[in-house]
Amino acid sequence: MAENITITVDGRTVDVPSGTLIIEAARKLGIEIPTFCYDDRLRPVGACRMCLVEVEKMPKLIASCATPVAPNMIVHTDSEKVVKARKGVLEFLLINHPLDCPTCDKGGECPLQDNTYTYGPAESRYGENKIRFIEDSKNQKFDDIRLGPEIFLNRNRCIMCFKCVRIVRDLAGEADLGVFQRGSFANINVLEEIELDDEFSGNTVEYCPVGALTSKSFRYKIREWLLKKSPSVCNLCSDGCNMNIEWSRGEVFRHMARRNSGVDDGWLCDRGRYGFDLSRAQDRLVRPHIRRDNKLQACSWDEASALLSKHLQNIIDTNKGSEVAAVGSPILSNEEAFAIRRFFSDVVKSENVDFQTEYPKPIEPELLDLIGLDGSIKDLESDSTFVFIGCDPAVEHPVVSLRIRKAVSTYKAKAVFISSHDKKLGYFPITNIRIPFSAEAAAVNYLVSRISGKTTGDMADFKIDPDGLNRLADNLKNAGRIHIIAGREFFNHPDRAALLVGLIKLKKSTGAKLSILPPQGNFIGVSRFGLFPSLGHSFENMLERIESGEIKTMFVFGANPIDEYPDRKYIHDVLKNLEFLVVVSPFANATASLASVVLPQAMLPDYGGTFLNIEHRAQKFTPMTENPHSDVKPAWAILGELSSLLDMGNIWYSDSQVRKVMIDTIKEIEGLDNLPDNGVVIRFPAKDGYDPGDVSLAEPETPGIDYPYIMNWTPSAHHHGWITEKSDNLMRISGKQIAWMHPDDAAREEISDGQVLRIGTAETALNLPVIITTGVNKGEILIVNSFSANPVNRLLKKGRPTTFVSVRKS
Amino acid sequence: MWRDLKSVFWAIPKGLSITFRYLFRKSVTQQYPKNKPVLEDRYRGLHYLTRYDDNSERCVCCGLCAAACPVDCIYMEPAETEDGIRYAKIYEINELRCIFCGMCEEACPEEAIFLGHEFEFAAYERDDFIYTKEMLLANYDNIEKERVAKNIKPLIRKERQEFKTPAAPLGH
Repeated sequence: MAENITITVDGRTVDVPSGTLIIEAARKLGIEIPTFCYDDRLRPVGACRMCLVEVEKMPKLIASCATPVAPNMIVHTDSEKVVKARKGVLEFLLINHPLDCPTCDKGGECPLQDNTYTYGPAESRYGENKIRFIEDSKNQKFDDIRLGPEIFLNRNRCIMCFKCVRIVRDLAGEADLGVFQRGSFANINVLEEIELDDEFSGNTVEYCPVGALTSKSFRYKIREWLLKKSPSVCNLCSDGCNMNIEWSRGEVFRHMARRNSGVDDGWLCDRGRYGFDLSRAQDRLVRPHIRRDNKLQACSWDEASALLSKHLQNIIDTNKGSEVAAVGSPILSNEEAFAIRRFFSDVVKSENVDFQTEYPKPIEPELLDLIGLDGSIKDLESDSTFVFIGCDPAVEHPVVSLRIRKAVSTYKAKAVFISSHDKKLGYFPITNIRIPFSAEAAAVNYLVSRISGKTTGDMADFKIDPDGLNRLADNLKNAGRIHIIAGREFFNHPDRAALLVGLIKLKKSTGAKLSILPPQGNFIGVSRFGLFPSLGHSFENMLERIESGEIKTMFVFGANPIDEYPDRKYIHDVLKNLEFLVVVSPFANATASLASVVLPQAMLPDYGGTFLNIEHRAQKFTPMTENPHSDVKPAWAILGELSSLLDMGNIWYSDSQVRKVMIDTIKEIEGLDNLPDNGVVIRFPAKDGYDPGDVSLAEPETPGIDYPYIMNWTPSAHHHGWITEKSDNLMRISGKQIAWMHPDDAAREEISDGQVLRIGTAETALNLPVIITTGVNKGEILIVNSFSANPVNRLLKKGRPTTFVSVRKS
Repeated sequence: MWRDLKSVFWAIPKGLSITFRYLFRKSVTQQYPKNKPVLEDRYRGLHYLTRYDDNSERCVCCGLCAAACPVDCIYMEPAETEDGIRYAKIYEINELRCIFCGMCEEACPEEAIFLGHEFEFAAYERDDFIYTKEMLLANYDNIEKERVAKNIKPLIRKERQEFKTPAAPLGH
């Protein structure tokens, strides 16, 4: 294997493994070699020639970013020849560069500026006219072209380092960007009618070494040196990517990656990057509201908390704690989750605490140990076969999917998707095994019996075509390092118990790793730190008790059950029965419109705390120190204030204080105090030996004549859950809500591509434009969810994650 | 004792001799506001923002003047026109805070901001000393009118510098 090689750089020796590039060896010694096109995560191309160094016994200068070390190499990075060469390279790079630094957004953080200042010539000797790419012949001042909804490109500033092309091609696996023309006329562009809008397009802007690529949301907004940085963690999915929130004068301007090689490796997806405008969205709640004369009216915190404490005092005095319920959500921090559980069990004396408002059935307590990533995120790169069941990593876990993309593209791993509609990982080769909707449990059981050599049941009942599964089973028998990943569709699965049994059997029979990944932000954190319901107190039970009048008061923290719970009419009617509904939410939403009291909740970056990501890594996020919204509070601050008004004493002043109480209470967790910048993976003591036993498969449902199509829904890559709809940036990228259907169905219904359809039942329906594709099954309608104009849960009935619908032209 | 007395009485004519000497010289006191002072060319007074000859603003709101300003009296917010041109949506100078050091004109890469000769801009309200972009451009227009009337050579080149090159061959 790799043995160490000793080389000399500028008179100092260094030991590096063979295959290391010279530039990396020099960095190890602390010698910085200037470069534009090199990035240690991308394949080197040696395009910019800025990193030229002199190697003894080599006739010419060589590019240190593309040359691996050799034994006894003697490298000079600062010799006369190198200095002169750098000057020359910079002079050439600047020949066609417009030098419009005052207008350029990169000014102040531009490697071209910095390197020219440090190494370059002060003046150019070039007297000819510069080449200019004019985009619009009528308006000769505007040189920027629009590549996608967020990205603009100014080709005059480009120095052809190919970083953006490599990010899009090698990392994301998209074929959007390319190089056209040759020589001085070479330029980056997209093909006609193609838009650069993949999940990772924002990274091209961040890593562009000049101001050629700019993003619409940051363009011409503020200068870089005026921005202050708050280290934070994204909570728009459960990956927990590290980022810096960059803000000035209380306004957030952008999110930039903060590299944590264990989690995100310096990449951010567009959802996390461009969701920065959420905290200043139009719908943001910034003041408490009380219902007076059947209308919500703004009031002060004193009024609101006096009303709440009076109400709670009554409940406590009459010992009616069980009449109170609290509902959290996965957007809460660990501290908030802990404080909610503590407040309601100790002060109010109520057991009714849950956070799963969007699942038809509550999650089994035994499942808690299985939720999360098996192994670390970094380990994903070394797995050789991925089997995805009900999981779309590109949408649910974009940055973690980069590791899977790397495993597939670089290490030739196999990725197999078992699902009712096609999924993709960029253009990287994957296998889609299509099964009918909700037949995952049957398919997994079939795989298990095939692998263990037992007789396989009849698949005709489930209408599964066994060819693909047979091939997969044969492959799995011989494959090493298998990783089975279940995701969002697992949690929504109608036959979840049977699917879980199948997955555990599959794990045992193949020796695979099994990960069940929740897609929502801090799902694991809130369930581990207090919000996981005790038996008989799940959200479903609460709703039943509200119906029967046992629960009269409900607190909702950051959740929006009306938009999320899979039966809109039912939940609306149930919540109306409540005598007292308190909604603590960062945004005005459908649930808040029913409330008696609405309190403004803090969200990123208004407060500090910790999140737990899918590999149980606790990571700290910090607030910005100037905040124009002085009235927003995190849940622990609200509850702390209430408990002091109830004469119970306030123990929650700051997130670190809550964390301290949390550490003292939950003894078995270690490492939460003194969190380092890149977080700590927390080991929870696992209750092993969970054997769910045998569960028989549910009978497949057959559609009726009136409603021949089964409805399925999916989130979109840039928009997931009710919160991201509040972001103008993300709405601009994600576009309109659409539905997909199979060409055969479309032909039967005489529907053409793009037509607006009425999808639904006799009582209620959604009106959506349809796209005809073979990517979905026959007899299935796939709908993008989470748009409040056409919420999918309007069609659903309680306890069932899907429904049969009819389709007609509207 | 005698010596002390001598110094006391001698001091009076000695001091008055200076007074009488200056009485017959040319006066240095300027009779402001009746007579206006003569300002040097490099006098630094009220700011102005310049324009190109097509009447468009030179300022692109790069923020370098604000960065160079030692007392932080310049505030600006950039924006983008429909044509994609960067301009200053807000450009304000707090003239009360300004120390007229001239660092802003030194820093400006677009030759957009200069310190003029105007120093008489007293007002009754503190708010009146916050000069907006429109006021600063109006200052320039006044100065420019005067310059044209007096037929003085302009300080800066007035035409916009453009790429004059033929465009690169386009098409994929």
